[in-house]
Amino acid sequence: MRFLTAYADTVQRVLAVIGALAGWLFVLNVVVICIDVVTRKIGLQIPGLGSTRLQELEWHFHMGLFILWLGLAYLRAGHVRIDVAVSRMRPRTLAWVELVGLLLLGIPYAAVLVYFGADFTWKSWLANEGSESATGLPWRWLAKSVLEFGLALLLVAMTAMVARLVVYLRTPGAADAVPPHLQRRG
Amino acid sequence: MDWIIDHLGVLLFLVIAVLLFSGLPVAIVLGGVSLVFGTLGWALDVFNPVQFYNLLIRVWGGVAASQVLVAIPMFIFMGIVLERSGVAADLLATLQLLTRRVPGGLALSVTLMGTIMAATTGIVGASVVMLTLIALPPMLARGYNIELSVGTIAASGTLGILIPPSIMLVIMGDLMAVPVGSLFAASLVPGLLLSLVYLIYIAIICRLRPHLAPLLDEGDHPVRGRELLRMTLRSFFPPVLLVALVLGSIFFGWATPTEASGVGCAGALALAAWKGVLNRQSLREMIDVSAMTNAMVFFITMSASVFAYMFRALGGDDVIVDLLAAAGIQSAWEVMIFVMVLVFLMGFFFDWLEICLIVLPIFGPLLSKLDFGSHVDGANAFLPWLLVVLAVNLQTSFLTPPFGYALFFMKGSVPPHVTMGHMYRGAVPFVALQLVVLAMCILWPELVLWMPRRAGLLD
Repeated sequence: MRFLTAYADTVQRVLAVIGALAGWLFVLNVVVICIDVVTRKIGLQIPGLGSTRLQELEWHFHMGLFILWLGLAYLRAGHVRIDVAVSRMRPRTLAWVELVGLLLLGIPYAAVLVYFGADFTWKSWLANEGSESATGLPWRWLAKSVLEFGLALLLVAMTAMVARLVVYLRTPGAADAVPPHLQRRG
Repeated sequence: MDWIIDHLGVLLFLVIAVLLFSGLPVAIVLGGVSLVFGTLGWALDVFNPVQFYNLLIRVWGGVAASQVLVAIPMFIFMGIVLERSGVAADLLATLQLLTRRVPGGLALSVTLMGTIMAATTGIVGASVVMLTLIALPPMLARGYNIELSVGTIAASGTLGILIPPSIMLVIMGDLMAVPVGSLFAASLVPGLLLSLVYLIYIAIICRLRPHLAPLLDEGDHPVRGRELLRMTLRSFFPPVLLVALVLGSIFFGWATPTEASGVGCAGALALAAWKGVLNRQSLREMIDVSAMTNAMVFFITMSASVFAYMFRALGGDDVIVDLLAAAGIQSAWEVMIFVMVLVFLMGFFFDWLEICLIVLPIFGPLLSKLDFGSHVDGANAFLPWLLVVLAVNLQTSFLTPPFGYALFFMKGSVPPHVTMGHMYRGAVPFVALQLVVLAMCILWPELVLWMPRRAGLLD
C-alpha cells in the first residue's frame, strides 16, 4: 500500500516538474510569433530563422505544450467528464468505475499509442527526417520523440491513478488517499 | 454476424454515446472504445491492426503539425491572462458606473462585458462560471431581480463561443477545411446582433418594470467627471482596443488568426504588467491554468481524431448515409435540420468541443456536399453560413431548460437561494430571442455572409 502511494506521488511530482517547464512554451510561443510578425513586416530576417522555420517552431512548441501536459492534467482532474448521470453515486462506486475504465479503455488506448508511437519515432530517426520544406527546421525526429515521450507520460500517469484507486479502495476512510476527481464531489 | 460487421461503425458511435455518461474522462472513452472496436474488427477480419499505426500519423498531422491550431493555446492563454489580471472585473466596474443612470444599467453592463470579453471565453463551462462569479454578487447586492440576473449572465456567458476570436470556430474551420478568418468574419454580425437584441430586451423590460432593476443610489458613488473619465480610460479602452486590434488585423488581412492570437497574448501580458499584477507567481498560475485547459482541449481533439478514423475504417460513413436515406432524410434542408436537431439535443449534455469533434467527422462529408441551390450565393459561402448557423444553434441549446448545459455550470457557482427554477425562468426570454436570431440567420444567409464578403474572405 505504502509503496503504491509512494509510486503515485513520485509520478505526480515528476510530471509536475515537466509540466512546469513545458508551461513556459506559452511564453516562448508568444515571443516566436511576435518575432515572426515583426521581422516579416519590416522585411528583416534573422539569419537561420526565416519565417518558415519560425512557423514550424510555433507548432513544435504547441505540440510539446499539450502532449507534455496530458498526463499531469489527468492526475489533476483537468479532463472533461460528463457527470450528470453519476454525480449522485458514492465515491467508492465512482472509484470502481474509474479503475475498470482505466484497465479496459484508458491504459490499452495509451499503450497502443505508445507502442506505435515508438515505431513512428524510430522510422523518423532512421531517415534522419527533417522538415518537408527546404527552408524548414531539421531534426523532425526530435519533435516526434517529444510526442512519444508525452504519450509515455500519459500512460505512466494512468498507472499512477490505478495505484491511487487501489489504495483508496483497500483502505476505507483514508481521506488523503482520495483521488482528485472524486474529491471535488465532496 | 454480418449485421454486426456491417454496422460496426454505428455500434462504435452508440457505445461511445452511452459510455460518455459513465463519468470517465471523455477523451479516454472516445479513444479507448475506438481501440476496443478496432480489436473487435480485427477479430472479425475487417480491420488490420497495422492500421493502428495510422492513428499516429493522424494525431501528428492533424493535431500536432498544424499551424492553424496554434491559435487555440494562444487564445486560451490570452483569455486567462486578461481574466486573472482583473481586466474583466475592472471593465464591469467601469461599465456599471457609466450606465448608472440607465434603467437596468448593470444588466446592460454585464451583456456588454460578455460581448467584449468574448475573447477571453472559450469553453462554455469555464466562461459561464467566470461571469457568474464576477457579475452575480453585484447584481444581487443591488437588488436586481434574480431571474433577470441569471438569465443575463447565462446568455452573455455563452455568447463567447460565438463572437470571434472563438476557439470553437478555429476547431470547426480546421475540421471542415474552411479558413478560420472567414468563419470569424461570418460569426461577427450574428454574434453582435444577439448581443444587441439582449441589450434592447433588457432596456425595455427594465423601463417597463423598474422594480426588476433598482437604480444606483448616487450617494454611494461620488465618482463623476474627471475621475470617471480616468477610470474609463484605464479600464475600458485597453481591453476594447486589444480585442479590436486582434479582430481587425484578421479581418483586414494583416495577420492570420495564429499571428493575431500570439500578438494578442503579448498585448494581454503587457496590459497585466501595466496594471502591476504580473509577477513570477501570477504568471506561473496563469500558465498552469492555461496549460490544463489546453491539455483538456487537445486530449479530446486527439481522441476524437482516433474515433473519426476508426469510424470511417469500420465503414460508419456509408451506413450513416444509408440510415438517413432509409429514414427519408435526403434533401439538403432535411439533412441540415436533422443535424441541427441532433446538435441541439447534444447541447443539453456536452460542451461544444465534444459535439463538434463527434458530429462533424461523422456528418462533415455529407454536410459539405449539400446543395441549397440559390438560397446561398457562391460555392465558398455555403459552409461558413452552415457552420455559423450550427454555432448559433449550439449556443441556444446551452441555454435551453430543462437541461441547458450552461445552466448546470451556473448552478455550481450561485448562492443557495438562487434555485434551478430561477435559472429556468430567467433563461426563457433569452432563448426566445436566440430562436428569433437563429431563424433570421437561416432565412437570410446574407446576414451571416455580408461581413466576410466585405472583407473579401469568400472570393
